[in-house]
Amino acid sequence: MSNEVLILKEVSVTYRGKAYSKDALRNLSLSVNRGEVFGFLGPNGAGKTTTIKSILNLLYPTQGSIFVFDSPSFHPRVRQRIGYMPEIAQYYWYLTPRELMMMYAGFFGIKKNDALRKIDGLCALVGLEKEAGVLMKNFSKGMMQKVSLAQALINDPELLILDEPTSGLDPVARMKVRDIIKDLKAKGTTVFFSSHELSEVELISDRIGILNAGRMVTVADMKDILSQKGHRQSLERYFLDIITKEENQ
Amino acid sequence: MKAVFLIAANLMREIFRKKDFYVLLLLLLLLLVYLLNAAFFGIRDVFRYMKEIGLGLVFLFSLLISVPFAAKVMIDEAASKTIYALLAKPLSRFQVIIGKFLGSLFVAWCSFSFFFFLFVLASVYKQGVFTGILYFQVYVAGLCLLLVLTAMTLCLSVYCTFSTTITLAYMIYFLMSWFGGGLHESLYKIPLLGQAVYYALPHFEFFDLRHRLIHLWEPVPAWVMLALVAYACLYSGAMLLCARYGFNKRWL
Repeated sequence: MSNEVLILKEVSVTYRGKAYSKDALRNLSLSVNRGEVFGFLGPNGAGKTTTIKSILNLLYPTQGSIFVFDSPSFHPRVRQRIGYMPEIAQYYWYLTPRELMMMYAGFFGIKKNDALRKIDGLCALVGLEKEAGVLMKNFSKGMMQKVSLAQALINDPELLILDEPTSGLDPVARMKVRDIIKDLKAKGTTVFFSSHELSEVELISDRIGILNAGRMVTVADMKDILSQKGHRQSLERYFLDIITKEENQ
Repeated sequence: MKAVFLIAANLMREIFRKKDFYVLLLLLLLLLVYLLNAAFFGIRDVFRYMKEIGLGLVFLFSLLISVPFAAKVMIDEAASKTIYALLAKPLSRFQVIIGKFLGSLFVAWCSFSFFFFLFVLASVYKQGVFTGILYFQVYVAGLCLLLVLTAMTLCLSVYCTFSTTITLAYMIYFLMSWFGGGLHESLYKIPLLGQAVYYALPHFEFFDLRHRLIHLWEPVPAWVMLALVAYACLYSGAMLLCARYGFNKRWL
């Protein structure tokens, strides 16, 4: 069994419209190791969501290949071991969180009783106990984010992919998400997440990758970044230095 | 297969939790009650008119529910971005299409069955005669029609916008229902292309057995019914494969 859970090899994605074409990813290579928390950073439009969509086969790389658990990412069976929280949390308004998660649990072949137990546990984990049986049509953005996180964990994923997991959450909920990610890491789950919240990334990531204009600019250990040149610096400083240098070139 | 049924069940839940279905149901009930009590003084064969209008309403209301519903299931999923979380589960895109198709078909069949049942009750009550085999044939032909129409609408929705899908679906339905029979001769004048177009179009006119019931004609032979069912299944299958091709290619 390989130690690398996720491998991207020379992945390029080009969006082609009628009047334009845009290289969203350019020869992106990356690997994420088992059990690590990998923070995926970059300015707006850098290609973070495109990378995540490529991993999940929602769009197709123009060139290159992606492997998840040593299998090509396009095979539905690899998604049996993946949990995904999308950037924009939208779910069926006519369902309750419990019904939504029951349906998703069915896709993973989880038995009804196990699923019910699991759903109660997940609702408690994200703080949705009282709303588990309420239709989602009146849910706030923050509540939808909580549903989104809970549904991503329904299959006890070995690889959890989170796209901006804390956007729209209040500080208490953010802290909770951070704690959940730390707990998952302690249990051996690999977490790959994109975020603009550099302070959070700094607190929970083992490694980070910085993407700019579709290119991977750097991949580094969090510890190395924080102790660079012998004195402590913040991830924010590091990130800004890198991006500024890139833009000046 | 379980995943397909879960997607279909989710769609059924959607329609039963929305108000549109109940509004149409109520409207049809009111119209049928009106028809039951209508006194067409001076008009002979009043039952025929009643049956013609009643059956027309049953088909129309079933179309009003099934076409927009089938047109929006895939489009809504992409527009509301719920497709991301769905396709991140261990499902193939074709499973999603089949699930959506079965859900839409169930909704179409349920509403048609309910409307048809009301119509049978009303017409038997008014006329006092129950010609079981004719009712059965019209009912089966109606189910086949909805099978083809749902598959065609779903397929169109993979390639077109919502409004284009609805417009095209209704246009094709009404054109083929009204002029489908006459197309044969005109299209056959253009050698290969005309014939290809003729066979590619869904022949909704095949499924219209209403006049047999209205005028109490002889039932159609069993082999014709079997051929209708086979045609509906084959055409729907082809439409679903077309939808699969388009959806598999699409970037989400």
